[in-house]
Amino acid sequence: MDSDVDDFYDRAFSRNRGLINEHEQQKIKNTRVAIAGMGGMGGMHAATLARTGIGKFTIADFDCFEIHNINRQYGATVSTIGQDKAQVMAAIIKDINPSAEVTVINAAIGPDNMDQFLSDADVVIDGLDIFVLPARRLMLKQAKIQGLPVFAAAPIGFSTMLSLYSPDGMDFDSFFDIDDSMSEKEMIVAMFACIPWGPQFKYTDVDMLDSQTGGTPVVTTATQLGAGMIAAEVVKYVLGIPGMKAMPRFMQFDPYVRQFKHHHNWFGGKNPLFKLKKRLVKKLMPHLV
Amino acid sequence: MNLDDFYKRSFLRNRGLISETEQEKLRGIRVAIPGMGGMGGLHAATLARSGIGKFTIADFDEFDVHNINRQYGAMASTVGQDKALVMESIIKDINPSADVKVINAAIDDDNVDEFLADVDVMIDALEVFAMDARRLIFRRAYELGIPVISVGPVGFSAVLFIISPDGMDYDTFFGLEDGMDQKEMILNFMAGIAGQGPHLNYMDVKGVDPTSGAAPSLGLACQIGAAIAATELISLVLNRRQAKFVPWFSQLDSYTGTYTQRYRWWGAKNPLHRLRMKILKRMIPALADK
Repeated sequence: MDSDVDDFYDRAFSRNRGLINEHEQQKIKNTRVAIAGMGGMGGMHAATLARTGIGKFTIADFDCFEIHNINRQYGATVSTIGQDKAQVMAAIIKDINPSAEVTVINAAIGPDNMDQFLSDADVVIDGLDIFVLPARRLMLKQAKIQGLPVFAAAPIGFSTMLSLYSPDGMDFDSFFDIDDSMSEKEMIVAMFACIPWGPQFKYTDVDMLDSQTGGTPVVTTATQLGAGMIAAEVVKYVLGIPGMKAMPRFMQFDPYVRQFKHHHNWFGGKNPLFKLKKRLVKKLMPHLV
Repeated sequence: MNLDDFYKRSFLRNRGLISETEQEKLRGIRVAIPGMGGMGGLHAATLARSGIGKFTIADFDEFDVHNINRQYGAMASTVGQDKALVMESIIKDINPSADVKVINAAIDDDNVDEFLADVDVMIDALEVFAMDARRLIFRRAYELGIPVISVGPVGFSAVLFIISPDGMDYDTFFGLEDGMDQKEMILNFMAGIAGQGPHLNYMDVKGVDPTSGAAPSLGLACQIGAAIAATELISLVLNRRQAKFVPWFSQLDSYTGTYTQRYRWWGAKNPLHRLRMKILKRMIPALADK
């Protein structure tokens, strides 16, 4: 039986040859990726990495699929509405790669299960909702202590912003200049101030941010683009090929305005420019504050 | 809940980027996709999740185990099933009100008009090696005034080119003629997509065999490509911004982290490009020995 499953794996990923050799494919197979959140970004990451041949996953989500998830979430379809996101995605991963080892945490990640979530992980991917700050900060802090890289793709308009928190790079709190004394709203203002006010503002209706739909506008093209690009970074990381630079450097690709930018936020959130932008955010997006 | 309501709620979160009127417009658009393999299946799923309401899809093939590394519909549970039928049910599971026309066969002279009937935009998703079908479909689409968006997954990157009925045609851009040797056509086509670019730094082009059809292909590259193609399609049908048609083409390479846009004057007649084709022909052993 074991050899059948191995044989299936070898055949399923045989067309990667020429770009990923057999030895490298084995390395990918033995990698465990921990993905927090199985929504818009997380589900897409899970499916993309499963199709790349990643063999071990730890996935976490507390939520069920709803109708308004359908416009972008991999696991959200008519037939899965009402079902647990993490369970649905585990089944999809197993259907792509029956030999995959999937650890499912059917809960929000937090202080109680962070050790379980990160145990044995080689790479961490942040697929949490943009406004989920306490869990994200805890996860990033813990990953840094354990020496794990954390990749993330944020869908911003039609674009994707790719970031990497590496154990020896700048951490999340310094990048946004936030600390425990701040309220969650202040932190969100800081986040909006520190992301590039790039091309997306030409075509995004900012009044829609955090309005009645309960979140930012998001399209599937952006989540898919981000998951594809992060999968490439994960492959490079696992195979020891130089990849993207860690924070405070990051990248944004926008296929709508046809722009790919490599950013470098010198000094992170302490940079006077971002202090100024913080004041502007409060003025321009009063509904956030 | 009725289907209109369901549609509205499904695509609610597009608001802010795609307005309600624009969303209704997307719902009325018919997209034709020949091929439900690596690129085609992903195009279908991405467009369905964007809210495109009408599809004409075609494929003659069944899913095989070695499709799993990249094809949206290929899974342990669908191996052996018809690609077009599996993708039809996936589209309908995303959007139950979608109107999906399925042609469970290869596209040829007999069904090309049926395939392109009522179509607003076509997305090319044929295999690299299906040259005759591709030329036929591109020619017919050009005659009918249908724009064609095409993405080639090349290594870790996606190469995009869009053919507009008002711009340069497919044969001129790739340098194809009637009566040309099949291998030469494939070479010219491949050179047109992948003859230059950052992937040449890490990809072994010598291994490409134009007769077997087994070029290396990554799921992540297909996925990046489908996302870019859908962005172009949405902008095109909603008239959001000026598209760049061939001889413009662009490439996003996730391996080197680069994005390039190029303009190839005179298409395949470009002297630099002709030189490139000559070199490529020498480099690929399968093409050199005639």
